[in-house]
Amino acid sequence: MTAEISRLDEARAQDVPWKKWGPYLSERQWGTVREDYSEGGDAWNYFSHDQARSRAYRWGEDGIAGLSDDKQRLCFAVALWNGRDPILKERMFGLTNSEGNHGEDVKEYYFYLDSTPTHSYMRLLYKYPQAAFPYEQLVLTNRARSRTEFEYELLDTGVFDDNRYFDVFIEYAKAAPEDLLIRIEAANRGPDEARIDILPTLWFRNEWSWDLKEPRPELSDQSSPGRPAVIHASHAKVGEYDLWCEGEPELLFTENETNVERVFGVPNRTPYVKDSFHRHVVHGEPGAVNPDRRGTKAAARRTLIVPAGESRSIRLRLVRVAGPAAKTNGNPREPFGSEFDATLAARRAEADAFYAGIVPDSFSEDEARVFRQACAGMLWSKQFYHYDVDKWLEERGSDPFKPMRKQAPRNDHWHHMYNGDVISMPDKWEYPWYAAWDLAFHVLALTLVDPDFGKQQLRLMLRERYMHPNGQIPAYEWNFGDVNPPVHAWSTIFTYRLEKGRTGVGDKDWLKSSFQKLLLNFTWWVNRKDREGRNVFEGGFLGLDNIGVFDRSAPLPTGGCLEQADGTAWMALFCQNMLEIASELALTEDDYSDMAIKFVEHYLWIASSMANVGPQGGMWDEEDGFFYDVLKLPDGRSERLKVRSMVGLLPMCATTVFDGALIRKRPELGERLARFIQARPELVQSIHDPRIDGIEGRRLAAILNETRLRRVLEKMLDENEFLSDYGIRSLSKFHERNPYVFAAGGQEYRVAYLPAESDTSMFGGNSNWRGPIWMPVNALILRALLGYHMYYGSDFRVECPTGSGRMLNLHEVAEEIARRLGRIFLRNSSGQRPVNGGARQFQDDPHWRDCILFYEYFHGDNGAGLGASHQTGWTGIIARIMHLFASVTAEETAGPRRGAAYIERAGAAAAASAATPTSATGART
Amino acid sequence: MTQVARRMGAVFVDRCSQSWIVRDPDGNFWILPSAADGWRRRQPYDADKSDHLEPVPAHYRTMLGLPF
Repeated sequence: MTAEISRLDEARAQDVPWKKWGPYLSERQWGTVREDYSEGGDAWNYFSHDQARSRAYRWGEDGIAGLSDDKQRLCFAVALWNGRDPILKERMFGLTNSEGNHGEDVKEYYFYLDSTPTHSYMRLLYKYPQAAFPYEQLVLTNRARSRTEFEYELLDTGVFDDNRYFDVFIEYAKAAPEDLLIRIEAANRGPDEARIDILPTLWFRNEWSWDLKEPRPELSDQSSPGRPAVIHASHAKVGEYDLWCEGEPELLFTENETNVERVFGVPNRTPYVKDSFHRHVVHGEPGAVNPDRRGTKAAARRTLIVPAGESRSIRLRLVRVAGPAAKTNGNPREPFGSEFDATLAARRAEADAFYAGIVPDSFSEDEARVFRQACAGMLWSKQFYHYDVDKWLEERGSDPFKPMRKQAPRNDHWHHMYNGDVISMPDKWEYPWYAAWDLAFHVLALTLVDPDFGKQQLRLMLRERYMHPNGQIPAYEWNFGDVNPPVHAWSTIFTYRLEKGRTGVGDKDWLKSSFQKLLLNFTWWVNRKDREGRNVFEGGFLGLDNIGVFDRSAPLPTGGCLEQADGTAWMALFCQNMLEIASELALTEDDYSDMAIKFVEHYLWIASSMANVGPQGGMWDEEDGFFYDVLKLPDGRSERLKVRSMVGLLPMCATTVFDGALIRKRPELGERLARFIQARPELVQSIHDPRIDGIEGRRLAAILNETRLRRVLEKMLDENEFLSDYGIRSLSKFHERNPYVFAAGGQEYRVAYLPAESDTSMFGGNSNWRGPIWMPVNALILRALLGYHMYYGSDFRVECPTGSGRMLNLHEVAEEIARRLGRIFLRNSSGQRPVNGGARQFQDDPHWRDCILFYEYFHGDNGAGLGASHQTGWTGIIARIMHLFASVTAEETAGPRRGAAYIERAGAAAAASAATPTSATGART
Repeated sequence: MTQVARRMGAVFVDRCSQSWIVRDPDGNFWILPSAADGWRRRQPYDADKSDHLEPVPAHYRTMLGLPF
């Protein structure tokens, strides 16, 4: 057992606070919904980057390479100055939604290089230019560009020319749960000596200004002669800490309070406000920092002159000095003695050992690098997310229980919500808020390294402080009431199976409690999104932003409604997942048998509706061999909107393999199911008949029967349609030459293949589902293919790519797609990573080329990264995908215990449904 | 001035006079000095001038020591 696994065990079993400190600081708190108190809800412009250095946040904090305790009361981050910047670099800069030609975008280079799940070791790289940061140039140039042009990036400004920048490595290691070693190294990559000011900064999140009940904490200088400088932190709830600072830093103190003079034009009561360090360092303003050396924000400033090609480092140590943890931490006599470097080296080695235990032996060095950085990104993307919606509404004058209230611009009906937890974020700069369906995907990757955290995340979304009393799972802060695809149940059963496969025992209490809450959510969907009660679902944009002909979340220009192939498919999958959970629970508790039958029946109603409802046969188009959304017009006519997109592939993904354990145990359930279908044979006319045994006696729930599956696969695996060199596209390339055009109300609506960025402003214009490759839906496709393979076996073969003459079974097809997805990040034969596109510095420079960014989505033709640049969030699933296909082979899936091998060795989603307690045990032996 | 419902306290700034302006729950407007005991030293403010006031989030009430 590695040291890191021991720490995870201690955190779980003994409540040792190994996870109390972590990278829980956001990278952007400004421009968020939480901080927005504008009348119209203009979050991006109400609280700007320019204000952020001066204005205290209400709900959370941000910083560079920061960390905090798990309630984000005491925060630590790194501030920098190069002697030329107009602003002290305390936080990442980026464009707001309206400033960027493709929406918001961070304009900094930083890389999550490493992290263990308890954050016992973490490393981040920030690239800091030596010239003045080109803030204005970035804003003006991007603003002037059109949606058809590339984004103007920081590298394009020339600020990195001649390598005149610092690589700033920030490294954390825990000597004990609350004894954090910090090392900051600045490497001058330029041709000349250069100056850098490093300001490790410690501060308290401001609670005292907004709540009288919160006592004011304090930071103070408690250095003594002959000893390293020390900043003491005292907080009534967090405890007492010392920040030891090596060398002879200039200790600076101020208050983490708003500079009301700068922000509101009203004189300050004290000159010591949030932006004091900026004014002191950049402007040399006398009297800006507190000479009494106390406050709520402090920094230990070191000015380093770094010769060309060399590096300099500083060390710090944050230690709890009172309370339970102090016993184990102690107050080091020699905080920077030889033990410091030895512990740092040990934690690095333990991180290596931890990953050596996870990385499959077959991985190349580069595959291992991509895998580890993907995991590191997932772990660095944790953030303390704080939002008391009731309080927020009250502070806006929109108190839900006051008769004379203002209408809030958003989240009016979510006043039950109180969020104050560490949550996995999609991207801590671009999307520093949770998104429920993203989170379900995050868990698939996070459980590779920290199953406990994955489970805890799923539980969180179902808690009464999150889930709406009506059963809806919150979407995201821009509109909690928006509708995301219902993937929570899938992630739940996946995580359960994973634990059961790994330990031999599933957490049934957790599964039961999740099932109860998921029932509420399922009922919400049925009651709210099936307009006519015919098991055909709507749902709006459903996470796929601009994929539709129209904005699917807005009233249709034609009137009427849209019957959505994806909405209905998602609900079929939801039913299957609920059936899986109920079946698992029914193995030991008969009470759940009825629920299993209920979900079989409900699944059949939904699946058959997809194919049968409507005068023209519903969403399935026999001529094209594909599923489409159906537009239902007010006069009763209906029309398929023939856009070949991911929407039409999702019905293929609504599939689950069952091993028949429940029916074997309770044959009467099988008889009930048989009677139900016999009485309604039309239900299984167009879908796969679940009574038919597959290999090893497995059963299959699938909307597509074999004939239709082959037809859809023919399109999906056609390189002229969906199959790109880098995965499955979100829209068929067919529409490059054949745009879909729909006329309504004198206007023409057009959907064409756009492999890169969106050319419309629909959903903010910052993402694009009309061509690019998106990792989460590719993961769903892989899961489905593996499931079909487990049912049909190796004799089921298709041509892949279509027209190639190469016949593969479905495991091999999945493997081929996974290989293409991995290719996005891996160096090709020319040493280039497709994800880096045409960025020469990223492709060729040894200081850049192994720093991997996990973008939001990828160019449909060349794999270049697009959208949010640090969305390790769901793109981190690539780690799970690479791991899976390095761990199992097609042959392993073909025998009676092979499904369990998936679980045990790879945690494959597809196999999750096929494992039984017996086979799992058998496989382990 | 931005619409604010009656019978709820509200905080504003008057950038011309560089002052905090508070409307109490009874609808009276007050001008406050920038001091810890600003509310205690409040002076009446002419509501007719309130058109140019800029709203401040209500969480600043605590910082200004307002009793509501």
